[in-house]
Amino acid sequence: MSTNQCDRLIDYFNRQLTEKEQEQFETHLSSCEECREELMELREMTDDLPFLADPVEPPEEMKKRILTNVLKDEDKKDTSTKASKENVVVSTSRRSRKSPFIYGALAASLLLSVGINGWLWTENQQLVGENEQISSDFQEVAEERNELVTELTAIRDSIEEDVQPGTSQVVLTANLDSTLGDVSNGFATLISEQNQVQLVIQVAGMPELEGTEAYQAWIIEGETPIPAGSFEIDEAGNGAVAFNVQDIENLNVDQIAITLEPRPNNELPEGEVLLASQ
Amino acid sequence: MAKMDDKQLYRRIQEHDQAALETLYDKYEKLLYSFAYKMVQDPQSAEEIVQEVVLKLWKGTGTYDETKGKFSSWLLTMTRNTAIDMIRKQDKQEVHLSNEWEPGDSGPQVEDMIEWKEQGETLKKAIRTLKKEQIEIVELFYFKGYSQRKIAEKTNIPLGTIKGRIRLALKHLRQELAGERGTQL
Repeated sequence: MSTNQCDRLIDYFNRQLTEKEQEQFETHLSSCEECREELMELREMTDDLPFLADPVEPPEEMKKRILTNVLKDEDKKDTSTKASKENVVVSTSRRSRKSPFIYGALAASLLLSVGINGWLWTENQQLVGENEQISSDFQEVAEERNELVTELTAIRDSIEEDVQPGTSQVVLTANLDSTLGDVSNGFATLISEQNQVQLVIQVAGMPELEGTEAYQAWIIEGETPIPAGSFEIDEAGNGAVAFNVQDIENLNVDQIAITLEPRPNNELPEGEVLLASQ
Repeated sequence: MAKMDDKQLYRRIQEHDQAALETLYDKYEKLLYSFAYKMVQDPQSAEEIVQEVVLKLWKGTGTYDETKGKFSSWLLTMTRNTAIDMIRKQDKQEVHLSNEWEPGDSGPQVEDMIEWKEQGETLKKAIRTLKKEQIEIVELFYFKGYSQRKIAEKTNIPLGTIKGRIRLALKHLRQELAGERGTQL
């Protein structure tokens, strides 16, 4: 067919060409300045035409359907590689709204619960499978955390050999929720043993650090942030920090927060808060 | 926390940040849906188009280049292309020309999309100054995405002059718009 390529501009713009014709036209475009200009002009002149559409209310639940479909696709593809980073979230337990912490029974094991991040459609059947995945991922996090606590106890025991080993008890626990609404999350526990109080924080799904940046934990008393240790994360965005809390009797822990600091061990926070207890 | 702009959200979406996708979705849902609806005149197809666009966005099919214009323009072009592909697939015979250009038909309020409302009103005023044939040609070309041949058939205008007519109608519209916007200053 010996069509003048310049006549195909409209059909190119409107995607009416076959793949082969499209290739031919694109080759033509590279050598025809007039067509290039006309194409650009068409784009410019139609740029705002979509605003001519009158607002139409989308069908009910469209958002839910679309996001579920789009992300379902994603999850299938990704669970094997990214599940631990994307899906693990400690639920925002609302059991104690009045206090930032869950006042757990001292002898009881840690109060942990599993929830899902994302679209908050916990009732959605399609997420059941994902939920199970998260449960098992979370189990891992919880186990890691328990190991960490055990390790800490062991370290302290080795330091204070003259002190009789005791059983560490949970004073407080709190979920740390992302202030950005993304996948990062954390869990803070205050444990006490032999009158020593330690704050243990574990986080997951944190954004990568750059240069000298470090994450830093803070105990917020009223308006005052008290530094509670800096830490880094692994490639998967997981990290943890343990901090010896001095003078716990005179300390009111109002909130626990994690900030991104330009350098480790800041006296006062400079960066933004990424995670915080309720 | 500072509100993220489109470019930041787009970058986060490329890193598979679901929350960013949701934020951007909320921002553009109604515009994309309404635009798609105007093109295909069918709720189900319009929803399919929006889903396709969100999927492309999430999967990174096609990349937004900041140097080549606004994010919203890119997103709308992707919506239009998706709609054209669907129109072709369905090969709808019916040309539904709505009389949306009539005055007083402003539709529901758009609180969160001021740009849309303002632009829409100015555009409607401008497009009403075009001749009926010119409005039709803009409709068939831009909102139906028809081929030149099909536009020629629908309008009984010789095939060889379609491109010229389209450009003329669009230029006329631009001039009116320049006038409208000029008087608003």
